[in-house]
Formats: sequence, structure tokens, C-alpha cells
Amino acid sequence: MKILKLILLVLISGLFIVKASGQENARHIMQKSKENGKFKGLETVSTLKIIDKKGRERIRRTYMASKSYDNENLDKRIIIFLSPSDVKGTGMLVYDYDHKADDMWIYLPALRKTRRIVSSEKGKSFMGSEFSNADMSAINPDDFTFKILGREKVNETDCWKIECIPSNDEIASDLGYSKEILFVAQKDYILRKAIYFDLDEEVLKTLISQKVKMIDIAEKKFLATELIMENHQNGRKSEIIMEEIEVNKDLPDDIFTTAYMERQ
Amino acid sequence: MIKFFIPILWLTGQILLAQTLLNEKDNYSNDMGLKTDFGGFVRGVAYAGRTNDHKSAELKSIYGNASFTVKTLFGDFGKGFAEVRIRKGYEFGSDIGELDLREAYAEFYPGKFEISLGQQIVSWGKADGFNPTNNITPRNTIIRSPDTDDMNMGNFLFRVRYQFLSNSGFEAIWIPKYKPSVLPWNFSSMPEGVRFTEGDYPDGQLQNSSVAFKFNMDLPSFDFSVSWFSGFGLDPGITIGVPDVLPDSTFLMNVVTKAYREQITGFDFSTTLGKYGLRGEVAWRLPENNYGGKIYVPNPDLWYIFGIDRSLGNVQIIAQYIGRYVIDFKDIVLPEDSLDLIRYSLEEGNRMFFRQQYKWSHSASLRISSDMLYQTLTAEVFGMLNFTTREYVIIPKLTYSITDGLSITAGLEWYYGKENTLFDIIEDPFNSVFLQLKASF
Repeated sequence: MKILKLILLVLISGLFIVKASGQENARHIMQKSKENGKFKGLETVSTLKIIDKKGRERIRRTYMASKSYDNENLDKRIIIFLSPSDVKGTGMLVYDYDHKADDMWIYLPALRKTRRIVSSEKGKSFMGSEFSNADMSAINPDDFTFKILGREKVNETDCWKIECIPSNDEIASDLGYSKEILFVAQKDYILRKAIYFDLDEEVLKTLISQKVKMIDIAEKKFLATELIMENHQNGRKSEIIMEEIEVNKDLPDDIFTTAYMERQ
Repeated sequence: MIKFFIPILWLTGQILLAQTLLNEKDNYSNDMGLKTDFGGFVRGVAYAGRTNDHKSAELKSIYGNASFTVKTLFGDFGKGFAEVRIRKGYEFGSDIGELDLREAYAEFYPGKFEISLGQQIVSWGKADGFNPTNNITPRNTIIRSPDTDDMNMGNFLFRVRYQFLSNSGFEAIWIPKYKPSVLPWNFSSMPEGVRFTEGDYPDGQLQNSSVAFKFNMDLPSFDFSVSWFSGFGLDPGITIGVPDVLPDSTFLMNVVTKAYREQITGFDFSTTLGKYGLRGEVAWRLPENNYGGKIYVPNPDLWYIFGIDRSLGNVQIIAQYIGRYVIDFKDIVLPEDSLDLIRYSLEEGNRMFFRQQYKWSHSASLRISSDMLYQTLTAEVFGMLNFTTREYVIIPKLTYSITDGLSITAGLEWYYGKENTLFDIIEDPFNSVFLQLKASF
């Protein structure tokens, strides 16, 4: 009898370990995916195309610079709009912390002022596109529970299929998502596809990484340089195409300041 | 000699380090390596309201307006910027034709410094719409435009900013020549025999210049700045000028605007608390010593603003409390001698414009804005209510972006004030519906 109890205990513990290990693997993949997206210094000039359901396009060009401060678990990022004329000069500065709420500032040329904004509005649309503010940065593993659902090919690339569920209702509400299904490439940990579900658990949007490039040969780091986000509920689509990319440049810290944003 | 070169090499090194993709490639580049960018806008603006007797409708302002900007970047060494505006039309019963060099300045970035000289607009303060610490560039408060930035008037400045840490900076400004704000004095009714004339302002002597300093710091979750201004107040007062003797030997009393010296010490901050943004701004104004004897000089006061903002989906809400405490406040006593009546009414007028009619005054402002139709339609309502003087303003407006760079704005500006208040004076000329069609390039 004792032996039977012992076998049962081992089996139950084993199941628990397997489950915990599955969770840990998914989390590990997402953590690695996030770390892979960090660069000592990254600059891009991109085009954001916003396409409505009738196919009409609005085009925005942006400059973005980011820098990782590993010892502080901090990514600093600045985005400045280059066109069209009515948003030109608008800037956004983000201090993205790993374990606390981000610091965010926005500079509006019409007001000639930099304003600190609340970072919890991550679900808001990024400049009227189908990308939300949250979609513009890697997900924070602390905000989700993960589960590997299996393996699938996306555009002939082997990917892990990972379910991400916000840890609590507040995070879900901030993001505007009840669930995300992410397809992370096994070879480079780059997100190849994502399916986002709204708070009613209906499919909301699909993200496809159209083009992935190795941009840091020394560290073998990749970056999705063409992204398409399709909204299934309103028929709209947005594309981000990174036209100019520079990595590992020793970007001066002064770039990531409100003063620099105002100067442009 | 070596000692001389080391700082130059250090500065040059700093500049070279600061080269970014932004300034290398985003704009047109010519053979000299300069990047020149032209921009601006053209627009038509119309304001219509009621006549002063409220019996019929009239045009308050109609004009065509063109703005041309040019920005030349010298890598990250510096830049030059200029904006010229041309405005032609009709406003407050008169034809207008204006050519304005609104801004024209050059900037140089040696290392962590930013040095600029020329006609510039500087905007200080973290509160929304009302900024007690914003005392550098004057404002045209009577211009009829849906874009609030059009109130800002360029002023000749020498400005040095020193960003000694990534989160901390120091700023010093020298304003060599006084330039006053444009206030709605002309809308006040003057008694018979009294004439309003603009300007008893300081000349170009160096002793008449103004200076301002600001230290700012952006800490995680908390930004603040401390500022100090010493110079001539942007909003001049009115006083009795030298009378004119008319050919029929009668006197014509002149009421003139007059500038005064003051010091303003300010503090502002912004922070976040959960899903709320909090901001505040306070300024202590200390006019020249013998303010009590000069009716055109305001009393010392404390002007303070505390605000809270919150986003709910696509709706942004900013609510603010605005208070003022007037130091050494004394009631004005109606004089028995009729000769002192003009001085009495001018003193009352000054207090009205300086917002110092009461020892304590309390106001609230609210701005609600919402982006709709994928950020192509913006609806905004701004309101301010002064509980003490019983005045209010409400400005609802809708802006639709027809396509990138082309927008249409329509709205209403509505002021109300009890008798002997500023809004009572401006409500008839200002209350209007407005329409703007604007093409930016």
C-alpha cells in the first residue's frame, strides 16, 4: 500500500513538474525573444502605412532610436515623426522598465511643450494605425502567463505556438486583449505571427512579420523589418516598413532626453 | 595654447558623437551637407457673432493666412529656423494686412550646450492652458484663431540650455528689449474726454533688459522645474498719461499702457499616480518695490494651478483648479473728489486685467477631448469657470483631417462675465462661431 502511495505521489509530482516545466519553457522563450529585441543602440527610419477598408492610404514616416541599459533593466526609446506635415516634429520618449511602469513623454509642436503621459494607456492606437502602443514594444513576461500550444510553420519557418494570457484583468484592460497567440521562430526567437483576441475573446487582429533580417552579425541578432497588422473587425490594415537601420551605434545618452525631442 | 585647444577638441568630439540617423538622412541633403526643409501652411479663417446690440449678426474676423517656414540643419552642430506669416483680411471692423517675421533664430550645439539667438518663442510651464511660470514670450490675446499657439509672439532672446545630465538641465535667457503682450484694452469703453493710447515702454538701454533662469529635472515618475524671472512684466498696466490740449482749449485725458518691473519665482511638476497624471504650477510674483503707489503695477501675488488628467479609452480629460492669492490686498474706495474718479476706474481696470479683484480667487478648468474615426476626427471642449468673479468661457470645437495635411475645424467661443469683469468686456467682440480650413505642407 505504501509503495502504491509512493508511486502515486511520484506520478502526481511528475505531472506537476512537467506542467511547471512547460510553463517555464514558454516563459523562457518569451524572455529570450524580448532580450533578442534589445540592442545596445538601434536607429531606424520607417514608413507607417495606414490602409482603410476601401484601400485608401495615409502614410507617416518616423525616426526611432533605442538604447538598452542592461544594468538598469531599462530600454530608452525615442520616436519622432518626420511626415506628414501636420504631425511633423511630434515626438515620443519612452523609458521602458522591466519591472515597473514606464515613463512616457510626448512633445506636441502645436503646444511647444513636452507632457508626461500615463503609461497605462498601452491599448491605444499608435498614430491612428492598427498597431497599439503596446504592440510597438516586446511584451513584458511578468505581465502574462504562457503556455506552449505546439509547433507550427509560419512562412516555412518552424515556430513555437505560445498562448499568452494577461496575468490579471487590469493588464488585459490596459492592453485591450484577453489573449494573444504568438508564433516565435525557433531559429532566431523573432515573432513571426501573432493573433490578438479582444476582451470578448473574439479574434481582433493578426500580425505578420513579412521580412526578417539579420542586422547584427556579431551577435547574430535579427529584426522584423516589415510588419503587417490586419484588423479583422474593421477591415483596416497597417504596415511598418523599416527602410534605414543602424545597429550597435554608440548613441549618446543625450538623444533620449526631452530636450533633444524639443530641439527637433 | 594646448589649454585652449583641449576644450575645443572635447566639444568637437561631443558634437561628432551626437550625429544621428535623424539628422543625416531624413531630409533633403545638398552638396554642402546641409539639410534644408521648407514647410508651412495656408488657411482661411472666419469668425462670426452678434453685433454689440445683439440685434443682428456680423463678421468678427475673416482672413487668409500663409505661413512659410525654413529649417536648415547643420548635422547635429546646430540649426537655423525662420517663420514668416502673411495675414490679410478684416478684423473687429477694420481691414488688416500683416507681414510678421514670427521667428528667426540660429542655434548651436557645443557638447551639452544649446545656444540660440534671435526671434524665438519659448513656452514654460506644465499646466494646461494657464501657465504662471511662462513669462518669456508675450501673447496676443485678441487674435482670432482656433490654434492657441497663434497667440504666441516671437521675442528677441539669447538662450543657453545646458543639459548636464540626461535627466537634468539648466536654462538661462536674456531678453534685451521689452515686448508687451497684446491685451484687449481697446474693448473697454472710455468716458468722453479720455483717450486710450498704446505704449509707454522701456527703451533699448541694457538696464531695461530681462533675464530668466530655469533648472529642470526629469526623475523616474516625477518631473519638476524651478524658475526665476526678473524683468518687465509681459502684461502692462494702464495709467494716466500727459493730457493733450485740443485747439478749442479743452483737455483730452490720455490713458496709456505702462510696463513695470517684477520678479517671478516659479515651480512646476508633473507625475503619475496609477492611471492618473498629476501636474501643478505655482508662481510668486513680486513687483517693483513701491507697487502700492502705482496703479499700473499689480500687487504681489501667488498664482497656483493643480491638475489631474485621465484617459478613458479614446477620451482624455484634464481637470484643473486655478487659484490666486493677492498679497497686501486692499479694497479700492470710491473717491469723494470727482477728479480722482478716473484714477479710481483705471485702478479697477488694472485689477480686472491682473485678475486681482479679490484677495482670494478660485477657478476651475476642464478640457475633454476625444479622437474618433481612427484619429481623423477630434472633438474637444474646453471650459473655465471663475467662481469668485462669476465669469466663464466655453470653447467646443471639432477638427476633421480630410486627408494628411488638410483639415477643417469648426467651433464656438463663448464668454460670459458679470458686470465689471474681463469676460464682460470681451464677450461681445469675442463670442463667435468659427470655421478654419487649413492646408499644411
